[in-house]
Formats: sequence, structure tokens, C-alpha cells
Amino acid sequence: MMASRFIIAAAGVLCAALPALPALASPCGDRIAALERRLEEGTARAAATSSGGQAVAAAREGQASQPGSRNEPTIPFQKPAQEAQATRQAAEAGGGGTAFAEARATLNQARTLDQQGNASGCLEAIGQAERRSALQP
Amino acid sequence: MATTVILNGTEHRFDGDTEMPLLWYLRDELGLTGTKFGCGIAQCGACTVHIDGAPALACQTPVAVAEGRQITTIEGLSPTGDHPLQVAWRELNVAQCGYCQTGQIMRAAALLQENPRPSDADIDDAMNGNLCRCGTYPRIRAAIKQVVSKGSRP
Amino acid sequence: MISREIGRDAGGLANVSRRGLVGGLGAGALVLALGLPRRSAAQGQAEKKFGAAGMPNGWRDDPRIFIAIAEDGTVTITCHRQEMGQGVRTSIAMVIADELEADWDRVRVVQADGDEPRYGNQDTDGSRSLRHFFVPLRRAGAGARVMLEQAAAARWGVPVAEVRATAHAVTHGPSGRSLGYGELARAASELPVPQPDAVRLKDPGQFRYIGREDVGLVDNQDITTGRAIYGIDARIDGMYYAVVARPPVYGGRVTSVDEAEALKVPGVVRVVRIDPPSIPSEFQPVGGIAVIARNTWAAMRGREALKITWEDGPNADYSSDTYRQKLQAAVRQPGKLVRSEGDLDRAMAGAAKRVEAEYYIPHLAQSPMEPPAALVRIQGGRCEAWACTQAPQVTRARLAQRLGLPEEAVTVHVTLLGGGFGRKSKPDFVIEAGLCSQAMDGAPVKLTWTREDDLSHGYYSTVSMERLEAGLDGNGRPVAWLHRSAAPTIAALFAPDPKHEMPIELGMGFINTPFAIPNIRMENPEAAAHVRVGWYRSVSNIPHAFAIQSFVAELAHAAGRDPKDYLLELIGPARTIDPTDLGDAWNHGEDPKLYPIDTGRLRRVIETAATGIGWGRPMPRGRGLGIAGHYSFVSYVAVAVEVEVGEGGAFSVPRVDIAVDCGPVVNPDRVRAQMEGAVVMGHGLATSAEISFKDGRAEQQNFDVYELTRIATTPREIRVHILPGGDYDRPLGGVGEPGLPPVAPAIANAIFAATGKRIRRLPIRDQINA
Repeated sequence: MMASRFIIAAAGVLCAALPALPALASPCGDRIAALERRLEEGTARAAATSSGGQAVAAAREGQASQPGSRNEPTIPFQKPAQEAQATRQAAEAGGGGTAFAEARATLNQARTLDQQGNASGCLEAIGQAERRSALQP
Repeated sequence: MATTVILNGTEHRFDGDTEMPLLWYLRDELGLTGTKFGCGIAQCGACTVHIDGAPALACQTPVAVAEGRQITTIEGLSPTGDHPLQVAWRELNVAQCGYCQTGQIMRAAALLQENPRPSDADIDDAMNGNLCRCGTYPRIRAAIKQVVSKGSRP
Repeated sequence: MISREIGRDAGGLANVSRRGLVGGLGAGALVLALGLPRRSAAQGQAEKKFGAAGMPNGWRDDPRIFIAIAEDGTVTITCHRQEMGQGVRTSIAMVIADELEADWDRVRVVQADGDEPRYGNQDTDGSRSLRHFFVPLRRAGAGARVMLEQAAAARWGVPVAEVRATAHAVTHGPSGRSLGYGELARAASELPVPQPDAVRLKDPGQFRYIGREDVGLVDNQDITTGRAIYGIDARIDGMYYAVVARPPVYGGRVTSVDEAEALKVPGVVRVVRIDPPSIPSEFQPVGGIAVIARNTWAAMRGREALKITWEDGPNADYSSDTYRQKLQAAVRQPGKLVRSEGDLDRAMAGAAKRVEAEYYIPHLAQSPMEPPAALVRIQGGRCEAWACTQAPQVTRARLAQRLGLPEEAVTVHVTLLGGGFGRKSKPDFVIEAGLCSQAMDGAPVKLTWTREDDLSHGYYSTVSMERLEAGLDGNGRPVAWLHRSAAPTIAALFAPDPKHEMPIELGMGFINTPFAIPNIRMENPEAAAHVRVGWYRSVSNIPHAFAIQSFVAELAHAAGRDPKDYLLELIGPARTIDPTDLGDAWNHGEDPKLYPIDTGRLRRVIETAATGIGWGRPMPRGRGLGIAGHYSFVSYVAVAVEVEVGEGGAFSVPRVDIAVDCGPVVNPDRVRAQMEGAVVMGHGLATSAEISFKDGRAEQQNFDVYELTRIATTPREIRVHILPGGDYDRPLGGVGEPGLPPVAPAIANAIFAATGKRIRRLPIRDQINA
């Protein structure tokens, strides 16, 4: 009974699934584009710093989540002193290193608001996204 | 007073606490580590041995109970390690981590001794006390059935 | 000339056979293992941060590290990853032996000690041993082959281009001369390791072992005869045996102990206090009282005779019933925003139909059949451990740190693991054994966890509440998708009281969900940890996949659509997605360019599993089909399940079809085995397994109440479909873990199809009746 009914709406949803429609030219749009570039540049770094084994990932992410840190952890997990530091940093960050995901989400919110012509909402969201992105390594 | 245990055809004398489960006597005192510890409460079958040919859980069998009986462990199942079940287990790559497999083989050997042509239900009934965390049950079934279908006997 | 790394002293381990784990080469053995290994990998690490290079200590491809050839021709391959049932000792040997052109019958495998500066990363978790080492180990094998060819060419005074290594011998084509590997080993060992550009990898068409189904496990003989040595089996002359009484509540401590009766138990020799850790406790033991005796039985009886009073500490109120309510309240409020696309609120408000559901997945214990156990001795300032550890280098570092020894003074020999599933990545049990040995002036002590210890003091899989809401348009298509996931985080092992999932948890099937839905919001409300939360095979993918794949079927039902078609529609057309666009910068540690999410591959496994089980065929009363597909560990797995529900709600699983696309396949038999095992383990956690807490204490202490799937309840037929992996130049996916996540939702969906009963809480137990 199903075969005839599931004419795929895929084509319709496909474009919607693409997360990064270009923002219109606007002050907020410029900041969106700039942050988008920064996040893309930061991606390799963020992924690298959090790519440890399950046995090491948590401490590495703790380190990666340090606000404003640009240092690449080397092998934090196997050096007690560095680990203790990573643990402290994780505690300070409090969020477990999810700044990238948060920044990306808020950036997308800004983009939606921009597309809806909500300039003040967009500026508020992009400001949040920029602050969050500053937390990512 | 020493207790005598006949293990894989050889007599052993034990001077210790005869309340000690056979499992720990085998493993710690005799160094026969093929019989495994999994739960200690008769729930997993990892410690299965044969006592006078019947399957028994070594974790539940005080040495006193084993006295004078013929005990067979995995090390004594076949002098060459070529019991048909052992062969089938290897042919089908049954094991994953392998930890429970000695108990599985001992339980299956006792089953085939008693019932050389078990049905699927007989196999499940007999083997249901033997846990495998890796999930090798489908191959355990297949290995037993392979031995049954070949009609090979130890 | 003896190879140091494999000809090492086996430490007097009494029960390790020569051909067993810690073997050595006989006198006169020769090796390709002279001098220091080159550090090319370390250089590579600076340039590239993904995959193996992104792991601590990276990778190595120096043949001298992994391969030794004796003058009798025996090839000894050192396996630096830990064997816990995934078959890695066989699969790694297949890779190296293939490129080496070695005769399989003359290959033996020895296990490396924990030494990552030498071997590269050894953490055996995350489904990545072959994913990360397939290429380096191919190069190692090929490098050794080239050295043998060079040695033969030099011997004969002919150009190396005229000789060829095949099947354990090098032959000179023009003259027909031939020399065996044993005859060439000494000369080859004196040659420099060829530069990478001088090493040609084999054409996959010429593979002897890689990709073959019929390779026997290297440990088969030992396993089936009881000679295989696990951590619990390690023996040394004169060793003592220990068990530990631990605080029943995490964070608790001993307030007083009366050991008099324990010391009266015949065989008990000493009672030792193990200090409690500070919280977060990372991999440190939880503290308690160790009883050291002449045998395990005496130690266990001694422990029973201890009179201990405990202070339960801050987690004494942890009870699963109230915690579940807390999680439920959390997911009913907005939480930390972790993914957003479109305008969810507007889409939800405009939806023709709204659907919502909450799913609860309890704590689980890995409970490998071999409980944690380790043997440690300390002699002359050196510590030696024999342990069933997934992470020998971490174990080494922790032992050194806790015992106050330099890391160089600690050797960790790795035994076989009687299952691991993540539990044995944490070396707390090895540290306990080390502390007991230290208390016995360094005498060897084997410390064993009982099953009660294992289930009461675990590093449990997280407990999770997942709330999903969707808005459907007039055609039943989802236009809005809200997902909130609340679960205590593994980060709590390492940091004080974190309350949010980490990127590795978010990226396990939550924010990287590749659905083609225009308006999406994902949130992670707070959840505090009150027990040690650790990783359990496939980790957070378990709750995320259960919730998402169940909810998709619920939506399909609400829309009056076929669940498989509806799932494919949500996934959308075949395309590749950069996971960073979804907010997942982790991507299982892999380069998103090399490992994008490929929805075409996800679709194909779903279609394959559906075809396998005969999706759409008419089902008799009481029977139903369910399906789920999930991407994890950069592999794609779908599971289709047939259930039969009898009178009274009891159900059985006559049939499962599981389809996996893990890229190129090294050892198809082990891929099959991992999928079979994942189905059985997934069936267990779906139907009966749960660790619940009351007053901070685990309520399930042994297998009588922590119920796992047994042979009689295991799915009657499991059919594994391995999708063609294509070219061996393509990147490999994980195998050990990705089979597990889709199993439970597929079962729940099948139950719904059979009965109309929707399962939103695991385990299922007798809910069908309720």
C-alpha cells in the first residue's frame, strides 16, 4: 500500500536541508558571512583538538574548551600535570567544549532572522554567535 | 585430612578448605585456568566442567562434593584438542573474545554425550545457562549442529 | 640476535605458552628490528590532525616495530591493539602478512606491551584499529617485503627490479633462483628501512588474505582448548590473590573497619586500605578495603568477614526513579542550543499536525564475561602488570603516577580481554592491583573483581531522556523537528560537575542527524552525574538512535505512511553532508572531507536490510517488521527485525537482517561476527538489561537480575549483509560499535507493527502486556 504514497518530497526538502543559504547584503549579513568563514577556518583545529580516543577525548575536550585558548594540546591525557590542567579548564569552561556547535546554531538563527528581515533580532543573534565562537579554540 | 580429586584422569590431593568451590581449586591451586569465573552464582556457565560425565558448575561445587569423582575440564576434554566440538568451533570461528567458550564447549559436549541428535530446542535448552556477552550464540548453534550433522563422536 | 620487543622476558608468567601471548623467539632468531624506528609518523602528526594522526602518539609504519622474521622463516607480527573479541589480532596479521607476502601458516602473533611512543596509539576503542592502522600496517608489511627483495638482489648481484617476493620466498625471474624469507632475514635486517616512495603497496587484486572470508582466528586453538590467557588467568609463582570491598555509593568512603574476623579466615594474609579518590575520580579506584590472601576464595571469604562502616557521601540520594523524573522535567524546558536551522517556532505553529514523544534509556553495564582483573608485581624499582586492558599506555601512565614510579619503570603486558566494551579502557582495577602489590612489598598480587563488584562499581553507560517534537505538513511531511537530549556526561569523570554533553556525545547521532527537514532545533538541557558514567560500546549513539529511529516510525504512523519509506524520505536524496555544517566539528575524529556523511550510503543500508527481510510482505497476526538505520563511527548500519508476539505479550525475534557499509573490508568474517554480536547485545539492552540505582546503590548485582540475552532468546536467524566496500584506497569505517545503535529501535518498531504498542522506555521487559 505504501509504494504509491511516498512520492518523495526529497527535492523539496533538499534545499531546505542545506544549512548555509547566503545571507543578503546587510550589516548583519556581513557579520554572518565573516563568522561563517571564521568557523570554517576554525573547524580543522576544533576537530583536531577533540579527536582523541574515547579514553582521552574528554580531557582533550576539556582543554579544547578553554575560553580563548589557541594552544593545541599535544598529549594531555598521558601527562598527569597537563591532565589536571585540562580538568580545571573543563571545569572553568563549564560547557564541555560545545562552543562550536552553539556558535553554529546561533549563527543559523541569525541567518534566519536576517532572511526574515528582522535586523535587530539578527544583530542580537550574531552577537551571541560571535561570543560563542570566541570560546572555541 | 587430604581430599582426593580425580582430574582429567590424574589424582590430586588437596589439603585445604574443602568448602572451596572446585572453580578456585582448579584455577588457583592447580593452575587450570581454562575453567572460567563469570558470576559465581550459577548464572553464566563459564565454569562448566564434567563431573562423572555430567555437566556441573565448578563455582557451585565444593571440593568436598567432587571428592572421588571423575572431573573433566576443558584441558582434559581431548588430549589433542580435537574433540569434534573444538574442531567445529574453530572451523566456524565461533569465538569472539573467547572467554565463555570453554564453558560453552563443555556444556555442548555433555549435551552430545547424552543426546547425540539434539533438536534446535534441545540445544537451546541445554545451552541456555551459558552466557556469551559477545553474542556468539548463532555460531554456537551452528557449530553444535555441524557436529551433529557430521555424526562425529569424540 | 634477539628481537628485544618480542624476545623479552615473559616475566616468569607461569601459564603463558611459547606460542601464546608473550612468546619469544628462540636462539638464533633474527629480526628486522634493529636500531631505533624512524619517526616519520611523528613528523606527519604535525601536518595533519585527523584520524590516526590526531590520536595521542599517532601512528607508526616502521616494519621493524611490527615484524620480525626468524632464520627458520617464522614471521612474528606484533599486534599493538588489544584483542577483546573483535578479531584484531587476526585482522592486523592479515594486513601485514598480505603485504609481506608471508605464508599464513608461518605467521604467529605476539601482543605488544603498552608503549605508545614506540607503536603509536594503542587505545583500543572508538572502532578505529583498522580504520587508523590499515594503511600504516600495509606500508610496514610492504616495507619489509622490499627489504627482503633488496637482500636477495644483493645476494645474487642482480637488479632489485628483477626479483619478486611471493609466498614467503624471493625469486629471481631470469635465473629461477629462489631464497626463503628465513634465509634472507639476517641480511634484510641490516638494510635501512626503505623510504616510503620506494615501497609499492600490493594491487588489491593480488591480496592473499585481506578481504577473504575463511581466515581462521589466530587464537582459535588456544581458546577452544582452554589455554588462552586472559587477565584473570595470569599467574606467577608465589603470587597472592586480592579482592576489594568498595564503597557502595560513588563518592563514599570508609569510616571504620574491623578486620579481625577477616584475618582469621585461613589463607588471608593482609588487609589493606585503598584511599578514596577526589571527585572527579577519572580512572582512579573508588577506594575501599582490599583483602589479600593465598587464593581467591580465601580473599572473598575474608572480604565477607570485614566489618566496615561507610559514609555514603554526596550521591547517597541517587535513585533512578526520581532521577528519571528530573530528566523528564529537564527535557520539557528549553536547554542549551546545540543546533538550529530555519525557524522552528514558526514552522511548528503552522504545522497541520504535531507529534511528541519522550524516550528513556537507563544505565547499562558493559559486563564483559571476564570481569576486570590484573596481576601486578614491583621488583627492584620496576613494576610489571599483566592486565586485560583496552588502553595499555594510559594504564602504564596511571600505574606509574599512583605508585610514584617513572613511567619508564612500568611495563604493562596485555593479555587477551574476555570482552571489553569500553569498561576495560579504564585502568582503575590495575591500579588497585598495583597498590596491593605495593602493600605486599612488591610481591605479585592478582586482583579480581567479582560480578557483583563489576555491576556495583562500574563506569556505566549514561542514562538518558530524549524528547522529540515534530510538526507535519498537510501531506504528513515533517516541517519542524525539535530534539532535546538530557543525559549525564562522561566529562564528569574529568571535571567537577559538568552538566552538558560533550562534542563527542553530541556528535554520536544527535546533532549530526542528517535529516532533510527545513526547521530543526536541538537542545541539551542540564543533567548531573551521580555515578561514574563511562563509554559503553557505541556510547551515546544508543539513546540517540533509539529515540530518533523510534520517533521516525511514530511520525510515519501519524502520517499514515510506511516507516521505511518515511525514514528514507527524511534522510532525503543521496548527497554528502559536511558534519561541521551540522555543528559537529568532531566527526569521530575524522577529516570531514575524507569522511563526510553520505546519505546515499545510509539509504543503501536501509534498502538492503529492508530487501533482506522482505519488507512489505504480508505478516500474520502477531508478527511485525521494524527498521532503523544509523550512522556512527563513520560507518552506516541498518537493522530490520521481525518479531512475533504471543499471547500474554511475550515476544521473540525470528529474524534480523543487518546491513553494514563500513567501507573497504579487511576481514569480512569478523565484520559479520561483530554485526551478529551487535544484534545480540542490542537485543539484550532492548529487552531486559538495566542498571537502576536506589539510595546511590546499583540494584542489579549479578546476572540473575541484570538480564542479558541468552541462546534461547537470541534472534533465531541473523543475516548480515556487507555492502561492497569498493576500492581499498577508500577510507575504512568502524566495525566494532556501529552495529549496535539501530538494533533496539528496530525491535521497538517491529513490536509496534505487530501490536500497536509503542515502546518509549528501555528495557522492554513486559511492557507489551501493560
